[in-house]
Amino acid sequence: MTTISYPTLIPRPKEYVSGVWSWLTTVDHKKIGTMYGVIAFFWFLVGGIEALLIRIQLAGPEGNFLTPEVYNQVFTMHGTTMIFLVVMPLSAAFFNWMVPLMIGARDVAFPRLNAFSLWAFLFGGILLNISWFTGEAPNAGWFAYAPNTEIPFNPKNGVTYWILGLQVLGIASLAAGFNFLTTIINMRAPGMSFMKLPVFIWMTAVVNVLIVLAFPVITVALIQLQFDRLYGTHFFNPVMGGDPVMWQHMFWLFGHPEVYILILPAMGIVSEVLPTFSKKPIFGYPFIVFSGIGIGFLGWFVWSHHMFTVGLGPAANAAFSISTMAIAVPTGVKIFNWIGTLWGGSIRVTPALLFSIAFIGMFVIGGLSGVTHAAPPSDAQQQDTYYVVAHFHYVLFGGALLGLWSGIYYWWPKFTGKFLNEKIGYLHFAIVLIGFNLTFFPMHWLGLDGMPRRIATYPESMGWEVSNLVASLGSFILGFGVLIFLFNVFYSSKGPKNAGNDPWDGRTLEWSIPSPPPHYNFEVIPEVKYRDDFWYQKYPELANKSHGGGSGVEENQDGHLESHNEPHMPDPSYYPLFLGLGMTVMIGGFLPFTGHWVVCGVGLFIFAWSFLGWCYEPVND
Amino acid sequence: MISKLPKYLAIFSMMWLFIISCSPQHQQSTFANAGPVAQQQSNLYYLMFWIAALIFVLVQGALIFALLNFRRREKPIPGSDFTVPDIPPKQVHGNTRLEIIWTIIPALILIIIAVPTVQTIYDTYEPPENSDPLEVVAMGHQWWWEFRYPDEGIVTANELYVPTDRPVRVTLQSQDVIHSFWVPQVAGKKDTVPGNTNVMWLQVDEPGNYSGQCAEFCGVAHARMRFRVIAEEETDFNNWLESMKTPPKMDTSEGYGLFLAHCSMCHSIDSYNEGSYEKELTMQDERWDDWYFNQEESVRVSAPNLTHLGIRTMIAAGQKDMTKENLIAWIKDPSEFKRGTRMQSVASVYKGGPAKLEDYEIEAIADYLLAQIPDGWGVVKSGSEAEEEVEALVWNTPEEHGEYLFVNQGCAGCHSLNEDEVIVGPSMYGLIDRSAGKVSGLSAEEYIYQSIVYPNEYIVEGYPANVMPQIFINLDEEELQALVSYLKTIK
Repeated sequence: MTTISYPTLIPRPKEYVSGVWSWLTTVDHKKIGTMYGVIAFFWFLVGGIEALLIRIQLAGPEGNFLTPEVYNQVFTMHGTTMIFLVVMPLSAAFFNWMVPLMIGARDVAFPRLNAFSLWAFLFGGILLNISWFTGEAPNAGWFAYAPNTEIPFNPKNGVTYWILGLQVLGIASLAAGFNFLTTIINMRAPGMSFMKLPVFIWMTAVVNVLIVLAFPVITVALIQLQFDRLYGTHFFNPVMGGDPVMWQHMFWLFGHPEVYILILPAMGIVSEVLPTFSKKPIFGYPFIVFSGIGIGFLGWFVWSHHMFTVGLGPAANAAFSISTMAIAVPTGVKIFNWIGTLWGGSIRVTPALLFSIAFIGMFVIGGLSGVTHAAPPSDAQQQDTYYVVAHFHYVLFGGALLGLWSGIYYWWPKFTGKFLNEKIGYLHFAIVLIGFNLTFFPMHWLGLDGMPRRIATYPESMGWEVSNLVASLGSFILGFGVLIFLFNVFYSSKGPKNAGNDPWDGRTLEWSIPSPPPHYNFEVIPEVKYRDDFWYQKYPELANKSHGGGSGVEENQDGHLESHNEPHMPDPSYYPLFLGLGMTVMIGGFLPFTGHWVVCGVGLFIFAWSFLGWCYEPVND
Repeated sequence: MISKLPKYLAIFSMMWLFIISCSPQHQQSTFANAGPVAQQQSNLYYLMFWIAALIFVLVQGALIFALLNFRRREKPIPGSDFTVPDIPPKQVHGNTRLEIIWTIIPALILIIIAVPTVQTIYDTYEPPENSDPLEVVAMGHQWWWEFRYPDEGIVTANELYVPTDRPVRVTLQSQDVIHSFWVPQVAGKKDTVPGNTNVMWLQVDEPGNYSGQCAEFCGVAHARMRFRVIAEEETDFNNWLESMKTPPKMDTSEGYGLFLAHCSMCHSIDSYNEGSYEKELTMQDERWDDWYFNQEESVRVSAPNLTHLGIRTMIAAGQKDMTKENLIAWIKDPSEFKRGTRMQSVASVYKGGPAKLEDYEIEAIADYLLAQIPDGWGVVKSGSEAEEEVEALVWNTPEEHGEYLFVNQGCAGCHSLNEDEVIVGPSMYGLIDRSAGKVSGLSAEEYIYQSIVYPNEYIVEGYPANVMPQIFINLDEEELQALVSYLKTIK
């Protein structure tokens, strides 16, 4: 048998190389999760500044703080940034940190692929935002409706940047999606059957199924649009027989599952936070799990509710209206079960809990306003107005982001061994909640009063002045709240490492190990008997009384105790970084600037070299 | 303090709604319904709103109650810093009966909403049967609206006249990107999709002006793409139809010439004539194709029909009131009102900057445009002084007369007198030498004469058709002969 050898240009880095290279070469899911979180938070500040620019422009009538050209770029990038560079990667940060810890694993299934996802996300975000510096940021909205994205109407490179940046980010998401799915399916601790999985892990699984199925759709649509723009095809160009409505179908066939990709992780976090701080198991575990699966499944049959005014005809509108309303049922089930979890509990109020409570409250508002535009005739007055802007900010900020903040306060002690300061946390919570409602609640009214979305300015005497001014003031309060959070992070980082293994009297496996966890997570892979296994280890007397998932313990789990020596972990690698870099340079090389094929070729070379190097990378002894 | 926050928020929201609902103008309120379509749409919204309000109160109430009532109360041990350790509460895992209840009740509520929803979808889709609707075509353009009345042969822009108490079937089309036709008080929106034709209907109960706006993001000037629906009693509406077919007073002022020279390639202004409807449709397509396929060099693009502009209430797609000052400002530098407008980037008279015209010329154009009022509609606002001036002029020779016409009828805007210089059309230098024998059977004079009157029949190779205005047919015989005499002299 011949051994294939590949010239190793660079040796595999040793574990524990220090400094910057320890981060750049890491395959440790915790470090990767931290980097996801930090980078996503950086983009959150960028997207937030874009939001404030929008609000300054709209604070009064006939605003001319920004030209309409720049305004269009700002709102396009605000949406794109917040969705692809903030909420998705923040969720990915939690997937990275929590999935192995909660299922009792030492790393994800494909550690190097995991690092590659991170770098592709980083470089994709940079590629997208380079457009600001060439003066041609994307300007067609995050939905990029054709034919406004076609060359005759949009000759600058902005939309091309958008296409290529999203392709890179999509590849990052797909790689992460397959990785987490494999991890959840294959790497659960012995005894942790699916119905004993923490709800957060269930929601992660659903989200990653959605990612794996939805992103190929947008990938194809983006390639078609790229061909339209660069190589003269006419997929979406009606002048040459293309169909712009086709773009909308493809975009929303991706775009609606994407909405659930954004919200389900936060729902998973809330489903962990509420039981912990109520000292009760989650109410109706199977119903919470299956309603999550139901939302993910139904999410595929509702995309045309984004297109009620496109003219698909009454039959299509009626069908999509009913399927959309149907989603309210599993969503309602989740909310009732969360309240059921709180009910009769011993609720300890912490910032994490308050953020979860606020998540439910704000999400209910967003959900109810969502039902009002599930009805096409009512939606005909609301589509493309500020009412819709209010709706989805209640869902995505009041929902997803508050949920993620809850997760940050909840798991921070596990991440760092330190608490986030509780008093500053309350202040952060209060300012954010007030700022958020001041910003977005008036938008309900603005929309119903006839103010369309995406207008760079509005005339006087429409009756929109006061509400817009209040929304703008609110947005600055909200921005101040975010700064308080940043301050809390810095302030708390100076505090003592006093969190201990289990600061909240937690229920799930991550609380059974030190904070922050050692790089191998679990010295001994735990054997799981119950749902919320750690809780019943601490309170065995409660286990006898409970009926939730306690039965049917597999007694004979080979009993192979790992040796108590430090477990061998995957070695670090340079290749994920270079593979991500090469891929991004290659894809960026499709931008039609002079000599772009050279850049593309350089990228291809780095990509191919890293790919082969990856394949033949040796293992350190 | 924090637990009371929701209460303060609720009080604040109530005050808030009170304050804003008292501010005066709400031209685009979806609650101020002015017709049956908007009415049905809001009825559905109200139904859902009140159900949602009830659910909101119940759910938020339960949430806040649970938070307050089941808060952990750690009892301090008297005389020490320690508290009684909290004891885990009863470990409830779920309740299948409750789960079934809170699955079925929301489903029932949704059925209550879904039934009228589906009914309303069909009711608001087509005009009622046997209702004899008025047929209207609304075309979205970047960034203005074209309105056509195919049965009446009328084309107009940015102001849609409709009769009250009669359904209007609006056929929605677009020439460029996707727009959305929305008059909130009258009917919900529907998109104009290029390559597709959509249909919606609306009906207005009371005469009046109803503000509308493009609702689908369509590019730079999306915010400036407004329009108006003007509803009139049936007799008034029929008067309007009649007037649109009536020519304005004859006008050969300097403004007319300047208009012909600088504006008429894109803007039609004579669509009161017989057969002008079909012509305008073709012209608009040709102008559009010109721009679409050759953006760098095109000197024209589809543009609003300006026939009887003087009776419109707004300019630049609902940006400003129709006054002389505003019109002058608009012509001078359109970006001031509507950044991104093609008027400025395409027309030779701008080429990206302010109009290359003297102030008095712009004023003359404005006067001419404001005078575009159907004869008998009302008093002509201005422009009469210029007319008198024309009549006072006397020419000694036909050539002199022709030179005056060449400048004042706008020929000079496109045709240079210098050799080989092309402004828009071919240079007039040495015309007489080129013309002889160009078309067999026509003398040089006849060729020049014919190509003024019927420009499209005598297109010079390399120049597009339909660029030169065909309005010179308005000139009388003497004037045409004078023009020909003058053109013969250019060498």
